[in-house]
Amino acid sequence: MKPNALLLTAVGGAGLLVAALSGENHTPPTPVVKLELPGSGAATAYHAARIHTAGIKGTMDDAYLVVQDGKIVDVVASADSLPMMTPVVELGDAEIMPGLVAADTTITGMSGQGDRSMGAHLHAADGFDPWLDQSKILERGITTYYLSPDRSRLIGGRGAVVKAGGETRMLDADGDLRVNLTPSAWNPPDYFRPPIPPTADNPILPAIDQAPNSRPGAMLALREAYAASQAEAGGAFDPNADGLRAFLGSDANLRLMVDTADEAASALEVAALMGRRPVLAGLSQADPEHLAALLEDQGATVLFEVPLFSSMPNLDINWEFPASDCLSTLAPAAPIALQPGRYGRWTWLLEAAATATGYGLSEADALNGITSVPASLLGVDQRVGRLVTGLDADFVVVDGAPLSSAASVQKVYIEGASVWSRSGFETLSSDAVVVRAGTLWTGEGAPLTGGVEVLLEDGRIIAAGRRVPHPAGAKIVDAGAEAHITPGFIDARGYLGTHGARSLPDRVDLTRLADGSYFNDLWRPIAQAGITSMVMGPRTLGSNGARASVVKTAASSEAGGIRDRYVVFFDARANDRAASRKALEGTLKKGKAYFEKWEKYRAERVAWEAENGTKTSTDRAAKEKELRMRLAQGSAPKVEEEVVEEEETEEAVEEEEEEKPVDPVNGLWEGTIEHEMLPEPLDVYARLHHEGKQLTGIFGSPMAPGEEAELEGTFEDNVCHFEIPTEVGQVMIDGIIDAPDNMSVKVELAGFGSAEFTMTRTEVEEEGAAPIAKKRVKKDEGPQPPSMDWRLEGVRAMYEGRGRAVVAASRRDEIQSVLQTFAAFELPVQLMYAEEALDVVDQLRAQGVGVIVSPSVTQRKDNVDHVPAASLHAAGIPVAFQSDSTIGARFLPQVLTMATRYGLGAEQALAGLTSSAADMLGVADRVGRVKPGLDGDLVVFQGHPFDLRSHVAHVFVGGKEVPKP
Amino acid sequence: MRNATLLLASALLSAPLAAQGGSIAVRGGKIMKADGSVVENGTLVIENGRISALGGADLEIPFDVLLNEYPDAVIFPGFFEAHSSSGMDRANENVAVAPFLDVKDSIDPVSFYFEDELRGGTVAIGIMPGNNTVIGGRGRVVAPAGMTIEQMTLDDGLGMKLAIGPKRGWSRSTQLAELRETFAKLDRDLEALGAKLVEEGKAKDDRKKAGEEEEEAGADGDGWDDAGGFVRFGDDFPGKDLISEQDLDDGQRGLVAIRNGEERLWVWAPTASDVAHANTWLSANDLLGNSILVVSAASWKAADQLAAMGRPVVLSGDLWHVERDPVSWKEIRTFAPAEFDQAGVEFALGSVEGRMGPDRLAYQAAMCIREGVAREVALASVTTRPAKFWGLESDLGDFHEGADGTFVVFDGDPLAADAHVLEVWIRGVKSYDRSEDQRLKRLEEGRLK
Repeated sequence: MKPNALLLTAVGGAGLLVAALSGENHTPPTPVVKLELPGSGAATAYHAARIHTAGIKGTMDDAYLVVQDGKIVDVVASADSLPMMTPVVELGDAEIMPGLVAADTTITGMSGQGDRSMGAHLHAADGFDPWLDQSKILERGITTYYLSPDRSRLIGGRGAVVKAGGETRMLDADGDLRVNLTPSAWNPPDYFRPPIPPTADNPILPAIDQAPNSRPGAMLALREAYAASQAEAGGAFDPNADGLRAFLGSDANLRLMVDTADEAASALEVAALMGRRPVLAGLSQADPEHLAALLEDQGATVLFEVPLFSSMPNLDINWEFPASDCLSTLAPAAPIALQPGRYGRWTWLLEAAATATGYGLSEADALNGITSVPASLLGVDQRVGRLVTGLDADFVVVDGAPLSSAASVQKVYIEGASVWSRSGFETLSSDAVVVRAGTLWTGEGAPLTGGVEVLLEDGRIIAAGRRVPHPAGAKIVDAGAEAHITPGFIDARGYLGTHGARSLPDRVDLTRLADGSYFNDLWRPIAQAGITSMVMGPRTLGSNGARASVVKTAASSEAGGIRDRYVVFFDARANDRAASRKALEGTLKKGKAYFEKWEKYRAERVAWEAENGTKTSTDRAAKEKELRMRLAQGSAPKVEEEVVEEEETEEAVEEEEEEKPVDPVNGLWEGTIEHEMLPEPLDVYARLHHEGKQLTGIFGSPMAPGEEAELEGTFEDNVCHFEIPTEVGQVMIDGIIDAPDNMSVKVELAGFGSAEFTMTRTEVEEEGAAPIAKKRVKKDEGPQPPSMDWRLEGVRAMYEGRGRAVVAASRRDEIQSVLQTFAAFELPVQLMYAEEALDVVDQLRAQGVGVIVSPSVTQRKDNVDHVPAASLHAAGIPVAFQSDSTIGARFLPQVLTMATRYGLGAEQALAGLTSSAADMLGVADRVGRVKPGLDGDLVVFQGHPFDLRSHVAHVFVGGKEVPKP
Repeated sequence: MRNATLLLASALLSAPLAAQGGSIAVRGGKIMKADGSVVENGTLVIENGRISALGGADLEIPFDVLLNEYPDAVIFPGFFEAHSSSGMDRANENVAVAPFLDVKDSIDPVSFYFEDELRGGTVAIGIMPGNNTVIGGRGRVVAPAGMTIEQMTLDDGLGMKLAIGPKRGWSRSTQLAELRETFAKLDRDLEALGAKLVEEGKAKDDRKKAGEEEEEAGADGDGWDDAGGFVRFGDDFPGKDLISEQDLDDGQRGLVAIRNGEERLWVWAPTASDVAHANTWLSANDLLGNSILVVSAASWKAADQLAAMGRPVVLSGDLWHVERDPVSWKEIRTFAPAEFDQAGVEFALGSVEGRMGPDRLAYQAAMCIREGVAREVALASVTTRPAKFWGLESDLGDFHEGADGTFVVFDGDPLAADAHVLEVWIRGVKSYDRSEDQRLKRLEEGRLK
């Protein structure tokens, strides 16, 4: 310190000298000591945000773990200490901890493994399966574990310690001796080995009733066994005594299973008898103070069972949770190792440690309880359990604090080699993605900052918040602490899929036009800009309403958009306001009538089905009753005869008909079209009728009831011919009647391909029947749906709550007129453009009306730049934005960023692109927010979303990432 | 003494099959040897139950031997089931250590199993006690024809069953502990017995010195040898060379025979880990050289270890091992014979009783060929290899001079699914004729023509 101080005096004066002398801040930098490598192999350093050594160095932040030849060289705080040329594996924000050590497992079976109550000669190592797949063990970060002998016998035998990988798997084949002092060891089976052959000298004796049946019995049996093991050799053959003698001659630990403090007292007696420091396993039901007093100066180790439940356990009525301070009470008396309780899975070590903190254990002790303490309890602490010099390089990389329930094991290394990695999971089974960033804009209100995550799975948002679950196999997209996540943006009006068409056929399902947009080069730039949804419809608005759909800009084939949901655009801008209003009212009125027709049909259908259902079931019940009655009376059931009679009459009628000359065409034809372009075979029917060469037909499909087409064609030489002009081209249908009641049909769509199928006549038209005029309604099919009126489908959707009206209006009087009209029809409405909306703010607010503002978001009026959207927002009117263009939607975010420089708040801009737009367009249950259950549409900016320096880092549509440009 | 008696007894009892061994010459469209090689229009001459000549159509036939001609048939040595626990009234006793048992007492000659094996062209079966045991007892090789065990028996010294895979309800540690315990107890008992014999000898000498007359103990007629030196393994202890067969009980005799290395051991090791434990235990007790590993398909993971052990392997049960990937939970199917073959393990195949298809060795061998095992290997695994494992390669498994006059007449390639067994001849005696198979006839009455 002195040279520094002097220097400071010289330069800066006495004040600084005082500071230098009194403060501790100016210690000279200690000369950097390079680590010396003990071995000759290549060394590797692992750089992590935090390293839990479980050793004397405790926890180190921003540190390096140096590994060579499968052993740990050291953990150092600075890269300067690394030996020259040491490659560094950067693990980012991840944390490193020692490989977990499971002090008890069920791999070698649970209980009842043989008929001996005392089997000190049994070895769990005999059950070791070196071929057992370790991935479910490594997945939980466990690198070393115990193999248990029988756990429900008084003396189960010797345990073993093995590693989950590495050169030598078996660390200790002659491990601790397991003794069970709990009632679960009581009442073992009788032991019986008959002599072969039995003789007078060696007779068959009754089976041996084995101890224990109580704790005193257990203690007595153990004392006797101990005495037998100390007796002179040459007595009766007793493998248990031999086993016990071998144990006493080794330095293995004595593990005593105890639940209560009373049992613990007995356990200490046994340990004293055998001259061992006890390991007490279990103890979840022990009174902590009593136990702590017992364990004082006993040199015992506690293996505490943390209650964890994988399912509802069947517990004793006296079972209690351990007291919340039980481990803090015990900690001074004995080192504590942790294991999940017997109702959970033994692999839940991290969870057990996390839970143990709830019983008063510090986090550091909890981590030691699943690493260093169990390692020493198993007698392998010179090999594993800590990250200190000379031990095996068995360590685990966790993507966060190890005890956080959101963190999960990412990588596992054993003896310096990577043995398991979560990334190996990613290609398997799961499409789950966890998106991680610094800030989350949920779509409304202030953003959540300081590290956030969103989980996408099955195309939906499953969770969003500070920490989300990480399902196995989930891909983790970490955009960094600077990144912002927002909901996918909504363009409230665009025409990409329609290519700017002025009008579109009424029947077109617009969402279909966006099918496969994920793979489409035209759509891709829009999705890449963060616009994930677009309201797509014809360019021209009409007073009759132009139906539009909300589509996805990066949809795979199945979900082009939000089906069965419409946005209907009207135009109220007109010179003749009265006429325009009248037209609008007319449409709404017609739509209402159409809607009511459907409502009526629905009601009738429901009633008919209920009635018909009841009728059928009452009929059946009546018939059954009758049948039973007849059977009971012994007479043959008459029902069958009746049926037969009926059939006969039918046949007779048919025969009669056949005698008449039959027309080859007239009647009902049915067939099935199978074609590779069709998702599934399509059943079709045609009711044909000809008068000479004139052929009329009604075509339809039972799969689309109510949709029938009436066509005219020709019939000549047993060939039916129809030509149908459609939007996509001429459709030619040729049907050749090649056999009676059998027609080979070829449908050809010019330039697209053709389909061939056969139709058979299932019903011959009665002679002299009138030419087809109406579709046939079978009597027993109940009420049929009204015919579709596609022009009014949008308006019907509005009445049914599936559609939203958006009316283009500019002037104040136009707006008022629209509001009045829709109020009269009790329909919600949104406005578009609405330049003078600020004059009628109260009315808009009262009716809950929002405005899709003009694409010119920033405007100049009277030489002043302003953003109308900002003013509307300030007045409490929701706002949405439109691109009003085909491919221009990609500039929408930038346009809004500019608007934020002219007074639009970032939150307002975002709401307009997301939640407000979704609310106004009636699709808030699907898009517009980052909220569980909604579509997995996200935009990740690498900075603030409305900062010109930011760019889009990732876009997800339906949970699937859009490829980057 | 005992051996002579046994020899006489067995000679008398086995008379019907062996001594009456028939003489017959057969000429077939094809004579197919166990390696798949074919003699077109071959002739096989069997005299007194043994093959005396094999040659072409011009082979001279002794004047007193009848010639059967099968111009369209294939004559094949038949199939050999290396290891099976079928055909017994019960495969295992519930006593875990039972070296005193012999399948002789359990085989049921009229079991349908044997009849059905004949129908499938099997001509010899190594019957061993079941696997639900620790030490299961002795097995023997039988032909599936004959009305008594003695008639059926081809060899009564097949060996002893020893299970490393756990008995039902036991853990592996209990199983191995029982095994170790059994031999530890044997050692203790033998030492005690040796000490006792030394004492008795001293007392006898004392009496002799005192001039007391002692009557010579003659043979007691139980057939057990009373000469010392029966125990020939392990460290020396006082009185070891005094112990005779006579001094031991049935169980001990079997255990000593095992440790002496006089018994072939059929070691049940159903999984890869059992193979590892079997290797450890057998090597430690110097018994690896006497053992044949009986494994299931799950042992394929230890194929390399089995190859390194260099011991014969019998794959019993299903040939496919099915497991699930622990991560993706996808089913993974492994064809064990192909794995064994690739690793260089000399394996024989077993059939699966009661399962249509795998109950035939022909099917099992054909399946191997389908899955890429060479035809010679597949054929050997059901013919010459079992014979070799039994130590009977000079008598069974293939056609060569001096071998048993046993053959099967097929109406096609023996491994073809549509080939039928027309006749089975064992030691020159016709044991099965399809045209006289009443049960098969009844079954086929309803068949679509």
